[in-house]
Formats: sequence, C-alpha cells, structure tokens
Amino acid sequence: MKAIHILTLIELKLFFRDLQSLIWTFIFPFVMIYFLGLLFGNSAVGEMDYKTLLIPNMIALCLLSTALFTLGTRIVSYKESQLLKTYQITPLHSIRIILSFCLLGVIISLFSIIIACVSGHFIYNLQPPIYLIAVIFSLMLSMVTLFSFGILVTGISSTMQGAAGISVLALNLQTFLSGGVIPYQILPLPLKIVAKALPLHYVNDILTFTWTGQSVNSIWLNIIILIGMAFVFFILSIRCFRWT
Amino acid sequence: METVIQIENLKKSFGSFEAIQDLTFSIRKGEIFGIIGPNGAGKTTTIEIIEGLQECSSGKVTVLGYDPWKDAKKLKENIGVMFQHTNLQSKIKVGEAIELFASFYPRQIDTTLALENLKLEPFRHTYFKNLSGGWKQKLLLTLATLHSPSIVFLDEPSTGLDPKSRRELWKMIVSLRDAGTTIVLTTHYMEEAEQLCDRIAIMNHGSVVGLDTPQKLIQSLNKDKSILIACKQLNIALVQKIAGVSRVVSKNNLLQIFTDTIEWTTFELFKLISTEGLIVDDFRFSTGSLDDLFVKLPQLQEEMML
Repeated sequence: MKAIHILTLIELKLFFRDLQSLIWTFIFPFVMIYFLGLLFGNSAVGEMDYKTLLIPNMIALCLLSTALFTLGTRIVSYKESQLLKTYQITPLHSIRIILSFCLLGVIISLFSIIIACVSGHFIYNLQPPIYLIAVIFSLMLSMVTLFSFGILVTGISSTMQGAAGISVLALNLQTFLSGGVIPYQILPLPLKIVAKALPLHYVNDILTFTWTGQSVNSIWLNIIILIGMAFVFFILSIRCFRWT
Repeated sequence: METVIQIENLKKSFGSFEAIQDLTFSIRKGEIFGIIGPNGAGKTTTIEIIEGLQECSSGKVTVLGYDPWKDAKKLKENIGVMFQHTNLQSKIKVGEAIELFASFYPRQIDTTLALENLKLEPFRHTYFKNLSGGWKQKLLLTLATLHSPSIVFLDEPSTGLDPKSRRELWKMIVSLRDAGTTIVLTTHYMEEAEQLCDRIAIMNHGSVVGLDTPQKLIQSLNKDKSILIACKQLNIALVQKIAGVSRVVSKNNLLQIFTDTIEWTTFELFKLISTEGLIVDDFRFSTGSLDDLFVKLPQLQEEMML
C-alpha cells in the first residue's frame, strides 16, 4: 500500500509540474463545453435537450483522454526511458504501478469533472445530477474501464511516438462513434457496429442516463457489457504489461 | 571465501543463435567482479539471467541461494541494479526519488540517512534533469543501494562521466565493497576494470575466455614483453642483433623492442648506448594492459578452441 500511495503522490506532483498536462486537463473541458454548447445548444437528441447531455458527454471524453494521454502515454515514456526496467528490478509488482496510475487518473479526472460541471453551470445554467450515487457508480465503472483500456492499448507500443499515434486514433475514433458528438442514431449501420465494440459508447450511455436521472432499466445490457469490458481490460492490462 | 553467485553450464539461445555457450564461473562474497568483452559478447544476457530478468535455456544459476527466475521476488529484495541508460522523471526531485524507491522495499529505510551518507542532502529539492552527469550517477547508485543489498550490479557505471566524477564514483564503489557488498560490474573502460576489479571475466561470443585478477590476466595473456625507449641516434639494426629481440617497432621517436629475455636485452641495450655515448630521453618496460587484451580477443578465442 505504501508504494502505491507514494507512487501516486509523486506522479500527481509530476503532473502538476507539467504545464502542458495542466492546460490540457483544465482548459479542454471548459473549451469543449463552451463550443459544443454554442454550436449545437439549441438542438435535441431524441427527446432530450442537447445541452443536458453536454456535461456527461464531456466527462466521458475527459476520462478517455486522461486514460490515453496522461496514463497510457506516460507509462510508455517510462518504458522508453528504461525507468520501468529500473522499477522491475525492485520488488514493485506491475499491478501496483497500474493501480497507482488508475488512482492518479481518478484524481485528475475529478478536476476535469468539477471544471466541466462549473463551466456548464455558469455558461449554460446546466443543473447537477439528481441521483448522485448512481452517477458515482457509473463514473467509477467508466474510470476502471477506460483507464485500463488506455494503459492496455498504448502499451502495445514501446515508444512515445507510437503511443501518441495510438492515443490520437483511439480518441478520435471513439469521439465520433460514441454518440457524444454525433448522435449514435444517425450513424450508418457498419459504423454502429464498430461503435458497439468500443468502450466509450457504453460509458456515454451509462453516464448520460444516470446524469439526467433516466431509468437505467433500458440499458441494463450495456451496463453488463461495460462491467465485462472493465474486467477484461483490467486483467489484460496487467497480463500484457511490459517493463521493457 | 563464501560464494554468492554460482553459474554452472549456463546456456541461452535466441532461436538458433546461441548467445551464451556453456558458461561456468562463481563470484565470491565481498569482491568486485568485472565482466568485460566487446558488444555482443553476452555480458548483458548473462547479467540479466543472474538478476532474474531473463530465463536461461539450460544450466544452473544460484544467487544468494535463490534461483533467480523462480525466486525473483525474494532475490529483488537482496540485490540492487544500476542500469547504464536509466533516466528518472526529469522533474522528480532527488528527495522524492529516494522516498519513492525506499517505498518499494518491505524493510524500513532511513531516507535522510541515505541522503546524508552520499552527500546528496544539498540536492534534496533539485530536479533530476538539473543534476550534472556525475550527480545523476551518484543518485542512481544511491537508489540501487538504498536497501543495503548483498549484491549490486553496475552496468557501465561511469559512461559519459568526466575524469573527476568518474574517480568519485569509483570511491563510492570501493567503499561499498569495503562495507561487505559484492559488486558485479560490466564496463567498456579497461582502466575502470583494472582499477576497481578484484577479478575479471573476459567474455567473447558467449564464452569466458579469461578469468583471474587483472594483473594475472595481463601477465598470462600478454606474453609479448617489450621495452620502450626514446634515444634519437640509436641504430635499429644494431638493436635487432641483440640476443632475444624478436622485433623492433619505431613510432613517434619511441622504439618498442619486443624480446623473450627482457633482463638480458635491457643489459645489452644499455651497454650499446654506453659504448656509443648516446643520450636516453625516456625508458620504460611495457607489460601490456587490459586494453591490449581486449584488442587480442578474437585471437584468444581461436587459441581456446584449438
């Protein structure tokens, strides 16, 4: 526990010392909420007002970008600089590294969520969720799924350049197919099938349903799929973890 | 003396390529053991098998009584490793790095004492990227030895360091050995191996081609003894006629005289100089060095195979 605690704390300090990461984390949610609200604020998605979905969609995107760019890419950079090899020769187990990075992701995401909520409230008078416990549960499930997904897919690469390429591809593909930016209903069938294989689609569903106070009975299958994805990605991220 | 690392008939293959061929040697407690050899000699593979980072194809390796591959967790608590190209996070502070690495070990580590022992206290709040090359290496050595390991592996520890920093690092390594720690060192710097190592294994093409103290290795493998002399008017033809002289090489006002009977040749040489009334500017015996050995490695390998 001590190693996880100190590793998380030091990684958090390092995160706050990196100006680029700070700008990305703090400015991105604000800018996206402002512009998406400005562009599509008056439209509707099904029976829902687009603006109502703005915050949960933005949180889903922030979680994914944190998973890919802050967590996954950082681990790959440590692999490239042989820092992980230096960790490998100590009694530190890979599961502790993954857990501490997931914990780091939770803390960073909390900042993004607060900024998204505050921006939404002050710019568009968006209201906080009614069922807070349901939202917290869906956030936790989303974080486990996306963070382990980010660490898993970026870990395919052994270089920073490769990891950055994978991250950009994974982020853009899921952003456009998840239903967060372009409504899922208007996607052609082949893209709908691809979207169903990506975790952000389910994260978007569970976050928007719980955030807007809708009954999750209609998406129970999506929740089970997301729990399955969380389990599989977490196990795979540990099994496929490479020190060098 | 107690053996801490025992390697018997070690083999490691990558597909059809045999990186390590039937390696057998042991390392004693409290010695600085050097492993030298050209790139691709199998040094890194051997070391990584001993550290438990790679599994051997066949043979037996025992480190502190543990099988490095099967008992990796226990072994890692008792060894320290300083890799050649390690880079910590550029904006991690020295104190934070020590605190972080100390947290990886189950035993309690006094981080303040570690900082003070290696005079790192003034740099506690300095970012890793702002340290000089010498201090970076000192910090990495500190991180590798925080938990008082029984064995420390050093991979090219002084690469890229200026002579002053290199000597300071050597002092740290020697003081670790004096405190009872076994040190396994790989290096390309023959001077470093000669200065630091109690024993050296010379590797080439996955085999050990020589293993002994640096002095004995030089004596046994450098059979060509020679005399170096700077004497402007010395007649090379006359020198070649001295009994025992096999060849004379002239370079930069210096004559290198190779001989089988160094004492007799020296006597005859000075007799000649005295008779001719010449002036000697420089004179020394050349017994060779590890550098010479390193250059001769392919030849040594052939001799061993014959």
